[in-house]
Amino acid sequence: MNLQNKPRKKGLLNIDSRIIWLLLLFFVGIPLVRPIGIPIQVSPNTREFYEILTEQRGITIALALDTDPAGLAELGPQISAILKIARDYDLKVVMVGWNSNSGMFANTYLTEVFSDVWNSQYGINFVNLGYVPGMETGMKQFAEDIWSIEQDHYGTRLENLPMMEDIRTASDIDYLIECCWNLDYPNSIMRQFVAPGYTKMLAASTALVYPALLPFIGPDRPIKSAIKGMDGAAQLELVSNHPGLAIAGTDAQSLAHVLIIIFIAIGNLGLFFKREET
Amino acid sequence: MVDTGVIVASALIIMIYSFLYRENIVFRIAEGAFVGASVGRVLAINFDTFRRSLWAPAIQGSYYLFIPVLLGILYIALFLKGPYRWLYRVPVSFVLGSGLGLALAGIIKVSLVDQIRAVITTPLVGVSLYQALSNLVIILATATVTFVFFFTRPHEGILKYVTLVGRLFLMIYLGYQFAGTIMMRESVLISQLNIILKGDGIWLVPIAFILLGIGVYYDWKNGKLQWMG
Repeated sequence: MNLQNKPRKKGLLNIDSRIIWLLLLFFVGIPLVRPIGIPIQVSPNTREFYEILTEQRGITIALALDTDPAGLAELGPQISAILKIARDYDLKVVMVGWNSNSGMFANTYLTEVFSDVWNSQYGINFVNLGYVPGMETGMKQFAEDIWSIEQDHYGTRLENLPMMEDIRTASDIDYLIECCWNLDYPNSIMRQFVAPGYTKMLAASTALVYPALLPFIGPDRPIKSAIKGMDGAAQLELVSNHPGLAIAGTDAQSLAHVLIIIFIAIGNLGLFFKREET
Repeated sequence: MVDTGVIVASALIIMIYSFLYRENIVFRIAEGAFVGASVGRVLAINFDTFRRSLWAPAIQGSYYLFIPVLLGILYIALFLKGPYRWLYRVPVSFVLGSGLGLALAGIIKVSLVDQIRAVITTPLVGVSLYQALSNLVIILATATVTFVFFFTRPHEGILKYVTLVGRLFLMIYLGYQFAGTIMMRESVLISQLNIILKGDGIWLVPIAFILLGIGVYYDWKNGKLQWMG
């Protein structure tokens, strides 16, 4: 099809997509430069997520970073907030993952939160076990015998990491927090870690995955609590008193919602008038 | 000090977003860089995993690890023509069998038994009015949506209305899911703009707009500016 001579159609249903992109760019960009401060309300799930983490000092949590780079837009601020809470409450943190990006991403966020105490605390309060291959098979092996992976992301043998002395199987982990951007990983975690009763599970998910996780969330269900998307990260930053990127991003997201709702209304009006004409 | 990493990241983000105006060489360069870097990284990670998980322990005496290597090599038989092509079925059946075996036990407990038990034990009394209503919606939705997928009888009579309610619940779910998709895309845009606007990359924004203006003027002058409704 020759687009060069494509005639311009008029009407609400034929707004140039570039106008929509430009408006979206401004609606998102301006609040990032000048935050508006739209109030954030902490949801019961996020509050419960925070309370579970802070209930007891010194518990062991595992963060499974099973995401590709696109998922980090939402999961990144969540991971940062969780690590900051872990630091405040002296939680032992095991970073791991069954996605090939896991080790690299874990290194990024651990460096962000623990860089000033890295030399004195790595292996004592936090470790990065990196990528564990094999997906569900790898999960089962990890759950039964964590030491089967033999070394961490940096090639240090587990016997040289004092914290790992008490962490031999998944039963030694109090909560496994699955940071997921698709359903494969949380489903497999539920099957290999929760169903056999090794550990309890929390989830930090993208807004895309969250609706499908909802049936599994609850005190008597496999996932004890979960946070969702950028708003979940902002709520966690707020409740933990660590304001960061997510709180700043929530303004932009709210304005983008308004713009999208306006365009949905315009599109439907256009369709309505078109039907009237025909 | 100027952060070159942020500047390169910002430049690549702007180059990729230039596609929103139209397909162009700058976008293709960034796209090529992304694909190349991704493939290179995946190859490096896979090679490293092979070295750490298999090769290093195998040459130290764990010779049994060569068994999965042999199974993996059999996948190549898929590309053979002739009597040995069937060999690729050995690793496929091994992976399928072990995968299904591993997953099945957990699926029945987590996705079926626990879910049914949770719905059956959802309380309607002894909780707040809001919670009771919320629980009632869960029970209604579970029951009516299940009937939508009940195909052994035609959806007539009372069943017609039950499945109608079920379809409404399904549509609400799909709408929620779609809203989640939009939110995730917005978050990606926000995080990319954060990199550009809150670092050294902000100086690239006016340059990008000037280049965009030149591009628009060039297209307009050559009669290439087209409506993209």
